[in-house]
Amino acid sequence: MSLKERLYRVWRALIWTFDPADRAEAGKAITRNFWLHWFPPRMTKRSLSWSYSLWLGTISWVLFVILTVTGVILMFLYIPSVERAYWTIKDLEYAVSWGWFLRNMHRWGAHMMVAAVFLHMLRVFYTGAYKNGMSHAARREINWTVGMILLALTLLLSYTGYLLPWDQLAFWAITIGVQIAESVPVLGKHIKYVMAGGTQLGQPTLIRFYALHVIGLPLAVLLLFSYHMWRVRKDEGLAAVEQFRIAKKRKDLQIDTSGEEPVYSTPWAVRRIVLVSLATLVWVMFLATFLDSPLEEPADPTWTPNPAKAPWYFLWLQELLAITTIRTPWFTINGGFVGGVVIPGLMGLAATVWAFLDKSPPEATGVWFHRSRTVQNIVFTLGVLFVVGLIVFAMYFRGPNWGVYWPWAWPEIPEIL
Amino acid sequence: MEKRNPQTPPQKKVVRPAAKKPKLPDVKDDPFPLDSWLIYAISIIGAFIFAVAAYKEINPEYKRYQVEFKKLVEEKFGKEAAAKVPMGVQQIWVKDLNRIDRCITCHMGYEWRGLEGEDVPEVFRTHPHLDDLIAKHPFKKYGCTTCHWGQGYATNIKEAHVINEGKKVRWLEPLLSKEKAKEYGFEDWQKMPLVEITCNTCHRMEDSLPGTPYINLAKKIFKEKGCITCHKVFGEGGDIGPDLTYEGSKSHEMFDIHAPYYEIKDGKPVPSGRTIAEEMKRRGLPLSVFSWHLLHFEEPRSITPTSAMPNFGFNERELRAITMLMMSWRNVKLPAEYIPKRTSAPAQQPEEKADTTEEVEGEAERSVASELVKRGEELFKSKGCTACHTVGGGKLVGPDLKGVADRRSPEWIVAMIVNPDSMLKHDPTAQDLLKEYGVPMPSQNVSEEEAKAILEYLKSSGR
Repeated sequence: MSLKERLYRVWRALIWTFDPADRAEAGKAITRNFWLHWFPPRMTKRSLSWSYSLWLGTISWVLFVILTVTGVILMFLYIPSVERAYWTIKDLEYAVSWGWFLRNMHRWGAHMMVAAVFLHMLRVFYTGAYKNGMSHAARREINWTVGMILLALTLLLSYTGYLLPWDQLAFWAITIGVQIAESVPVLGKHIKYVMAGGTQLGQPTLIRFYALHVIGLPLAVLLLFSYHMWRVRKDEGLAAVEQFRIAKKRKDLQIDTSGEEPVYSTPWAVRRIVLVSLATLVWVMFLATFLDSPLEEPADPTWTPNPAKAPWYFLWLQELLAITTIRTPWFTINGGFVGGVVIPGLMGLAATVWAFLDKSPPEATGVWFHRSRTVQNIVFTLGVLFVVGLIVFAMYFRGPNWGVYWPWAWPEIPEIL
Repeated sequence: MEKRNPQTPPQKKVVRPAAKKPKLPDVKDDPFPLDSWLIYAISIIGAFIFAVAAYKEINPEYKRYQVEFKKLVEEKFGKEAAAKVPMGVQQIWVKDLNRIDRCITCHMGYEWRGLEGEDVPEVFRTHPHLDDLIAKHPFKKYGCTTCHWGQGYATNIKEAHVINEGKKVRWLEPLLSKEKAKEYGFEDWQKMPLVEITCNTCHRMEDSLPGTPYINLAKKIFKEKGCITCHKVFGEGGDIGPDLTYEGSKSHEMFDIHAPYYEIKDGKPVPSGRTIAEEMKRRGLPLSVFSWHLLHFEEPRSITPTSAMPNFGFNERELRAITMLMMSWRNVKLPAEYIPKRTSAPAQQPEEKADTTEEVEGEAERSVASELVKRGEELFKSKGCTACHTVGGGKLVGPDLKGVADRRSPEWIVAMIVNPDSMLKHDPTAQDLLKEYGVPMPSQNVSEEEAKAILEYLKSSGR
């Protein structure tokens, strides 16, 4: 046996225990494997186009990878203790080599991910991509549901991470978040107790949020994301291909079939993925270089910033709670139930269940703003505008004591000296 | 070619290339010819952005100062000394006080003897008090920010000095700098007077401390004006006004500077049409807790129109002094070895009493009555009566006591001084007065014998 052959055998022994008899067996081995079967050998050009998917799912995933890499490095530098946490962040800012850059990348990456996942959801809705078209095998509404859970997990990841710097911003934003949960009738107190690990925010809260942030939630996202991707494959590709399937089955000449030509996944799809990953990375690096993450005074339970605001993606809940709370001179109706449970709960439930109820024709699958879906698109848009509008309003127009102010007429808070 | 479905209407017989079974493309046919170029372009942009980040990382603001300091040392002490100048972030870690001070990253000459001169740039100058203050408060045990405040962690000027121009620096201990003192109009701003605040945070129990003229003045005022009549400090004192024990730790969020500012017209507060913040701006004061205290001490009712606190007529120097005293009373946890030894006896009451008796004894030639009057006057001041009452100076918080002996019986006056609580409960005249003035007279622990002396004083000066 030559040395080369010997080395080759050692190499095979290390990495490849399965020895397929022929190409077909090798192919099937991949096709049947949950992990290896993400990409088909060929995809249609439209599935890979910019204009159809906007590549938001890939962007979300790349952001998750950036967050994992920077996050693991940050784990070496951060100490999840109420006495030390804040000061380790100060050290990142001023003393650790590249500490400021890592932290900025992690912070802006996280905000970007929340935005990207949300926009991905909008894209899927407006293209009717949760519909099955004329495919018999596809069950895309399941992936829509999985996507909804992934969105919720992304929000939770961001929310748990928000607390970790243990500064005033973190402490009071999380306090508001916990209070929103607490306003749920009957169960509220218990939810708060589970979240905070006690009756008020402290070390038990920090360690809970930390463990969830670095292990629990990322693991859940990783597993669900794998399933999400695998399902795309099992659902016979992106919904865009349904257009071609319908065109073929019905011989419908009205359907736009441009971009039907197949494209080899390797290298063309892979190259595009590299491009999107690179662009996402560069964008996050750009933000990290020129925009500093906020860090306020160390957390102090004895004084509340006025106003204390939840993280931006939960601001709409805070605003809902505020406007559904009815105050009269005689009695006060807490908005906890209506604003904190009923409205957001119904909105989330409706959005999730709609994928199973949407009875629009198959042609409306995988195409932007199909005519048959105009009404539901408008309703959905109103819902989105409602949420986004509340967020913007609460972010820029809410001042001390939750009063309404113009963003430029914000009352100044005195300094010490 | 392809067979068409006969049911398809003829007008739709369009030749559609995509409808044909698509033939497999050649692997080398690039469907997205732009992608490679985009990758190159974004790589170049990415490399450029990374270069900017690397430049920021490699060239921090302090580096310039360190290079300059090295040059200065080389000029003054030669190459060998210059080689010993450390580079990179420098810090003093005071574990006991939980402080990490990186000030010395730029202020490198702080303990180099021989850099005291005016020719040395201020940033590199030797600490001017190495032999007195620093001998007692060594850098290793106190760091820098214990006395000077500022953000010890920070390694750039704006954030280390807490300069709130543009983006606010979120730090609650702004540098007690000369510039700040100048902003507040201190004549002696070059002596860095605001640092007295931190001196007194630890030395608050001492009656006076060398090197802190403002704080000493304020402590004298605090005692003389009888602030303790209405305010509690460490559990001692009245409760008409707020507890002042940790006034300096009160959050800046709690000072509402957008409330209306009042002017006093004919002895009554009238809205000025400006907010407190606008009044601060009008006077060129920074919008700060410090300014709030200045305005408040100048005329309490201009901030809180219902305030029972009298206008003590402080001058500028006194206003700054008493404000600094308030800012210094902070709730800090000190390890036992850091708590300063008291330089004077803590109990003030017996001392004062001893003083007054001595004086009374020393003036034996005077008549008993005039002795009593003298003693009464002393008591009137030391017991804090002046905080609320004048004799012939007009109404303050309580009534003017000129001629009070003609209006009320001596028994009533003595009873009111000794036991105001019970009087307010049972005596209709006292209750009427409470209705008129709104502030209940606090008990000052005055004995009956002392009250009689005060009565004699009121009788004598009341006519």
